[in-house]
Amino acid sequence: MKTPEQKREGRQEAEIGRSMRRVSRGLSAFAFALMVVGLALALTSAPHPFDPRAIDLSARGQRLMLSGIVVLCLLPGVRVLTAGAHYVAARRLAQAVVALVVLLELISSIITG
Amino acid sequence: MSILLALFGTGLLAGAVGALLGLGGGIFLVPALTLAFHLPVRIAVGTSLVSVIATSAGVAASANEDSGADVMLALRLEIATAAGAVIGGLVAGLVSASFLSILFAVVVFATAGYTLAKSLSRSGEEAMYRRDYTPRRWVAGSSTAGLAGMVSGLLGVGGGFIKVPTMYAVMGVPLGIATATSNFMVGITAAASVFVYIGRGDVRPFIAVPTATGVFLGAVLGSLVQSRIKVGALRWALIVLLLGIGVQMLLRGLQGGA
Repeated sequence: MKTPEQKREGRQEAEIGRSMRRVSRGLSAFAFALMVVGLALALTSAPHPFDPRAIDLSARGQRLMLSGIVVLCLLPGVRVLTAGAHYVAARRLAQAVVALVVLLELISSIITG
Repeated sequence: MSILLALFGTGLLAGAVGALLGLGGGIFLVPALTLAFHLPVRIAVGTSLVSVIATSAGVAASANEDSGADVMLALRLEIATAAGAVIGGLVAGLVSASFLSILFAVVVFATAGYTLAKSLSRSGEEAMYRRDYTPRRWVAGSSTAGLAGMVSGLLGVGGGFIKVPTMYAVMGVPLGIATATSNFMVGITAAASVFVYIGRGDVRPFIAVPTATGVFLGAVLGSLVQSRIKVGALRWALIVLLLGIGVQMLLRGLQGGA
């Protein structure tokens, strides 16, 4: 027979597990999307040597791929923060910080190419 | 284009074989990239680390129930393992490629021995996952976990062949829980050192992306097939393959290959 305390801990662990899976699914899908789009962009485009205004989509594609790799490599850190933070507010804060980093990385990759 | 497909196919095979054997794909991927694609060993290691993280992310996202990992034990050991991985990543930039190849050969031989011991193990399912244990000898356990992290950072492998026996034999953790905990730690350890490789320019997007995608899909396929086929005979064949890879890497290191 479980005590109310054990039941509460069990519920909390289940919630942490669900939260980790949600974050893992979302971030890994985002990372793979960045990598695949970047690869497609890099493969299907070539710089125009005679037009100085042309955007080098190949370099931009490579940057997107690298952004995807960075996002993917941030994922284990998010899992640690999610698993380690027993308080919902701390987990939300950790996830918000990572979301901000991911967003900044994406914006910088689009702007700087 | 054909080279990208070849990298994808190699990743797919390494991921599937790794999942069937219960190992990370890195132990097959690094030799394949260096011996078949003639890539420098540091770039092969950087690619392997990204692939290890991709596989770990995929497994974490698809797991529907409790994997049996002791998360608190993993997080405590990970302090030493992540520190070791960062040190390993930094040291990899200082030592020669031949040294890395020879060290990799030693790790491949150890992994073959570990796989052999695992296939001969006859622990009951219940004993493997019993929860009535308290981890002990934290200093010895953390030190060895740090060493496992260093090996991972140096060579782009998961280091389960060090962590699992340590948790089981030194810290008194049941074998099934030790294996699940080690699998939980693999991606975190790789993530600690991969940024050193990214910073040094040893992660090339055109190599890492197709390979990591292949390893990820291969690992998913391998884990789906694993429950449907008998891996006994395959395990023996792959132990022989590992020994062959070890000899090749050793020869490459002794000949001073990059």
